[in-house]
Amino acid sequence: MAGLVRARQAMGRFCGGAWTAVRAAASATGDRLRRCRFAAWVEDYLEAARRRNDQAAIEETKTCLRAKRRSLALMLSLLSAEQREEFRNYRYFHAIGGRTGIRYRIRVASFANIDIVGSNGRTMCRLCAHPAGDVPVYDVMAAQMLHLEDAATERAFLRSANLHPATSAHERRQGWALRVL
Amino acid sequence: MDKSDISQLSHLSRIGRMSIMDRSGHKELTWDMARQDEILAAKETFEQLMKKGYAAFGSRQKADARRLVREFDPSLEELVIVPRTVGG
Repeated sequence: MAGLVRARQAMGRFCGGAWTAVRAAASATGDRLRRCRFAAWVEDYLEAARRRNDQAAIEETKTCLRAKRRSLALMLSLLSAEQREEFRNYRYFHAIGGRTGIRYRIRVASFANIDIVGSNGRTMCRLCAHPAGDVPVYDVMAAQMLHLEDAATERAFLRSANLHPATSAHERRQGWALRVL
Repeated sequence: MDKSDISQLSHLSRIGRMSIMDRSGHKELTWDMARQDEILAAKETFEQLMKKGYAAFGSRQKADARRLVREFDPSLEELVIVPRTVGG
């Protein structure tokens, strides 16, 4: 009888241990499963975020291109036939100051894009002034031309513009290097 | 310009166009020179923009050279509104 009791206790211990082992194994598997699911969810989330960012970048590029096209159309409608032709050929056009009669060359650039052209045709200095706000480059050029060609606004425009040397530091270095060579 | 001045323009049936420069290229506002409500809406927009420091350049006909405009004139066929200039 005592032997039977001991056998039952041993069996119970054995079964209990096995059950504990089974439960531990199941728990580890569940953890792994949960971790896998979490990793998959993170991956999906990142992928979706990446797709959203790509889409936003594409939309932004499209919007920029559309804005550029619209501003180009407006600028071309404001230019005279000669200015339009000049712009198509050289990507710049000349404007004559409405008050001073100075000759300006307006180039496609976002910084210091107005050259003051001397009587010898050389650039004397550069001006930097543009409309406030994030307007496309062709709107900037159109606005600069309107201000410079009008006698009533040219002076005010020149006052607000920053003056830059005719050649940039980089160009000066290039020129110096060429002279040395 | 008051309503009597606007009514004098009612025999005209041309369309005026205001191009307002902004980051989208520009926004367009048109008005029929024979319609007072459209003229008043355009005038209101013009005055709001002038208060913000914008400059306006206009011409009576599209082919003409644009000149600085300080007051809204509904008989102008084309108006270009430019944001205030800042030094770069």
